[in-house]
Amino acid sequence: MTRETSQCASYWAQQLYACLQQMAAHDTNAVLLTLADVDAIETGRRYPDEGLAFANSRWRAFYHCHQDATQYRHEHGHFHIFTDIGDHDWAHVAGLSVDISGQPVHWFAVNRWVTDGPWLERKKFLHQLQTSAENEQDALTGRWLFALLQFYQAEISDLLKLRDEKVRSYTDLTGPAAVLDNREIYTLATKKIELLAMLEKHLLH
Amino acid sequence: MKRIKSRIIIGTAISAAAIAVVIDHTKQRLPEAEKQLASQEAVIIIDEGEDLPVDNSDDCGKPASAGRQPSPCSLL
Repeated sequence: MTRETSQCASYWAQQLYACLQQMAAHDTNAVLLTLADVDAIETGRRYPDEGLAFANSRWRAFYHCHQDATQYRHEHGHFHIFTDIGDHDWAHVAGLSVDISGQPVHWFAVNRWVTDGPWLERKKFLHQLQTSAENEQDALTGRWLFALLQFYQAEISDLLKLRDEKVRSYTDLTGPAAVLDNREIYTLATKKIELLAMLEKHLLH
Repeated sequence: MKRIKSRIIIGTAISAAAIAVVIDHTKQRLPEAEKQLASQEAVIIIDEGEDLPVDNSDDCGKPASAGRQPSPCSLL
């Protein structure tokens, strides 16, 4: 890790920690905040319905739950995160699995048919992050998501690399377009999140 | 009491213990999700000759029936 990368990670660790402190002060978390005005959560429904915009509306996310099949055994639901790559095109970046206590547990990448839209290249993802600015006016969940994306950018970049390798491995058997549209292939890659260890690493050293 | 607790959390210098405490306070059990009403209980009246509606109640983690739903987790 270069010194610049390390400083960047430390900065975003502090931003993320600040978000967590605000949540902790009210004994809440990003999912509870997202569901604050919801009487009863329904599987398959998006929260908020129109998506949560953040970082000057260049990023958007929604949360939803599954009826049975999940990304992770103790998953409650997950955020799907998208970025605006221009011309009103929103590309899916990653899914963020959350456990029943509202803690992020996994990043995951899905096949293109799952979220539709343009395929986000790894370089483009990094470019999007580098050219996006945090916005203090955003909702706390939006700031938390943006800080997480920035803090975990190396891991998400690796995730997208693994995703592409997986697609290539399938492409040996059939064409790339057929792979991206294959309903039998849902998850392409996952990355575990160890939030406490990551924060300790970048806040204490 | 809650306000005092909040001040304690915010005022604590960063240490391994402080990070753990902050994260612990964000560990709050999430409400259980109910099955989507539309797919389970709603009555949909179809006029004669009209196409059946697309089932949009499936989970995005269930590829088995995904053929009926092109992109279950799209933003739009």
